Amino acid sequence: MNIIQVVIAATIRMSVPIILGSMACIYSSRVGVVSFGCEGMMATGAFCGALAVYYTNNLWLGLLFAVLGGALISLLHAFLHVTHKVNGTLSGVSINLLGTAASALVLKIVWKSAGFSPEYRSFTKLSNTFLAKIPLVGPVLADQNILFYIAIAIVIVSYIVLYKTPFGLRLRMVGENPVAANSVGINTTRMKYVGVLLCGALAGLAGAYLSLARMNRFILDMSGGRGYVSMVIGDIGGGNPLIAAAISILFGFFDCLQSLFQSADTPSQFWMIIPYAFTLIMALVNHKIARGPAGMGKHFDD
Amino acid sequence: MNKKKFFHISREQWKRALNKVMVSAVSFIASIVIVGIVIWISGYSPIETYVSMVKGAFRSQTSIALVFSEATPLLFTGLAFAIAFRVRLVNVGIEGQMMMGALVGAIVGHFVTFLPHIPHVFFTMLIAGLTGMVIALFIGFLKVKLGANEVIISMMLNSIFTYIGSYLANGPLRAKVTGVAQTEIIQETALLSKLVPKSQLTTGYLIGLFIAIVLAFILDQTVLGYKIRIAGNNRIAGETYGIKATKLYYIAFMISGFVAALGGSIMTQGPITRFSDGAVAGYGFQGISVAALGAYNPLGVIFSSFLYGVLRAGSYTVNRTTNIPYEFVDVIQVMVVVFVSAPQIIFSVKKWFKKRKTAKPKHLPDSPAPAPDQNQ
Repeated sequence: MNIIQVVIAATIRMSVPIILGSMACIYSSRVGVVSFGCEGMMATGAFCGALAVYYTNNLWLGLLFAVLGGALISLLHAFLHVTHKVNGTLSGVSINLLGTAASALVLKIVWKSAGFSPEYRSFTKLSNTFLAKIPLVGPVLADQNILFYIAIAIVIVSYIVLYKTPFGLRLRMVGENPVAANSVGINTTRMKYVGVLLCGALAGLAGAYLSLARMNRFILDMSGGRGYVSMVIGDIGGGNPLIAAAISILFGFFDCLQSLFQSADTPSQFWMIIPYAFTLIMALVNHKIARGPAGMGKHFDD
Repeated sequence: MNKKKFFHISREQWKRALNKVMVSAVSFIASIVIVGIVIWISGYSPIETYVSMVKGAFRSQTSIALVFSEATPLLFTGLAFAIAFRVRLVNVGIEGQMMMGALVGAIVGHFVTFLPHIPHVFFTMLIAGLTGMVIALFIGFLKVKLGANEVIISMMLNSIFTYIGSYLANGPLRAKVTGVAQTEIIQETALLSKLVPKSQLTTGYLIGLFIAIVLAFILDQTVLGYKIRIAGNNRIAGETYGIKATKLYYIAFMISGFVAALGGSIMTQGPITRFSDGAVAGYGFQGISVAALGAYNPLGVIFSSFLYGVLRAGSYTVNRTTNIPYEFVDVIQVMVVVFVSAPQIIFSVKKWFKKRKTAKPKHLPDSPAPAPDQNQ
């Protein structure tokens, strides 16, 4: 592989969890629920996936458990925010704290270790498939694992679901104006639950990418702020899956630059700031869109 | 002319306060029970654990000092979160503001050499506090003027500040002697004096108490506090009376940033004595739990931070003597936030029990079910 191919491959590798995470956040913010809890759902997904793979040695089962774990903790978020009308950010913060604290506790109980699990199997790159033989883009495509292709499929499906189906229309309507949605007979509470559960499931998948594909062990705090970045990117993209995926890849590019230049003479922290500064500036430039739909945090009976 | 009564508390206010205390107490007990079940499932005795925790926390003078020194940073972040939440703003930037306070405290504490002891201590705290205030003002400015989302900006700034602090501790400010990435120890004149010798408890805790009382006074007895409460409880009603919510957002956010950064500086001037990577990490988000348990009331925060201090100090003992990980304290703290912010969970359980009781003697098939009491 030449240098350009290496950079592109690394960019894609860095951006897969952000793509999945921003898809998760889009579903949540499209139904008017602040997606601040994404970080905790990611952490839970990563941990549940790791636990399942460690005991069953089956990666697909691990993926399933990551999705279930993320969905389970998002159910708590929905219960707090939708049923009991707790401030969305506050409930998101408690989800984040719970994700970290609970995985730290179970990590200690199960593996008697502070910080990381033992190694296990993980998703491998598709180096030996037909992909590697494609000229030019082959090496880049073969350098990814299967989750990248799942992520792409999810982006396309999300776009179709949100913009081309009646279900997506209802989902968006609940986020824009829950009162109007309620008056035309949409069950807004159920829609919000569906949106938050989808958010948790996809965030769990994003977490699984971290613990089952990027690494072959679980490390505490391995989501490392990616949930927050996903939230911001989902909002900057105006809730459109395609735009959000594009911005995620741009973020991945800066993330990749950061890891390339870490060995250079300049202090590594400056390079690490770049992705966050980029997101911050994007959020400021795009602030009108980045506020999410009009009915953010509102309930139909407020 | 009748004199204005200070601290006059009506029966209605007593009732409301008692209700809040009940919610906090029940939430705390419920969390302890749930985590106790987790401890029990993982093969330890929950009662023994809790007893040895409390015993460990109050074993000696040193361990009681440890309780209060653990409570100190939580007191500050709890106050910072509570005051911002009074105008219904969730200040997730406390983490970054506290870190910058600790960093500025380390810089001013080390490089300012010409001041005597007491002025130096207060000068350091003031500069650190103002730093946090400016950060909060900046976030508030972007929110009010540009309409940006304060949560997004705060989170991104938290990450950026963390890397700036890490850069300074690794690069220009790195101490020469040690191999670890940390700044030089601050001057003796900037250090807070110790309340209990050979412990980490400093006069910083007293400063925290003082600030809690001042904030409680402002909230309950002044016009500003009245406006803050109105803007938080019913923004539209307040604006009808000419109480501008945006101005109060600024003020509450600035107080919040000041208190958070002050807490960071007091950690540097007290137990830590220097700045390093992740020296005050995590306190900001724990403050949310402290504020929630304290019912977002400055005086309540004093008690809740003390309670968490007992839990933390006791968990060290438990962790030393048994194999039970001290992470379960974190889980207790999170469960408290969940229960306090949705007390209806507890009430719905109570209602469910009541329903079952009233449903039992239902032997007449055509009598309607008793309607749930609306006042409860």
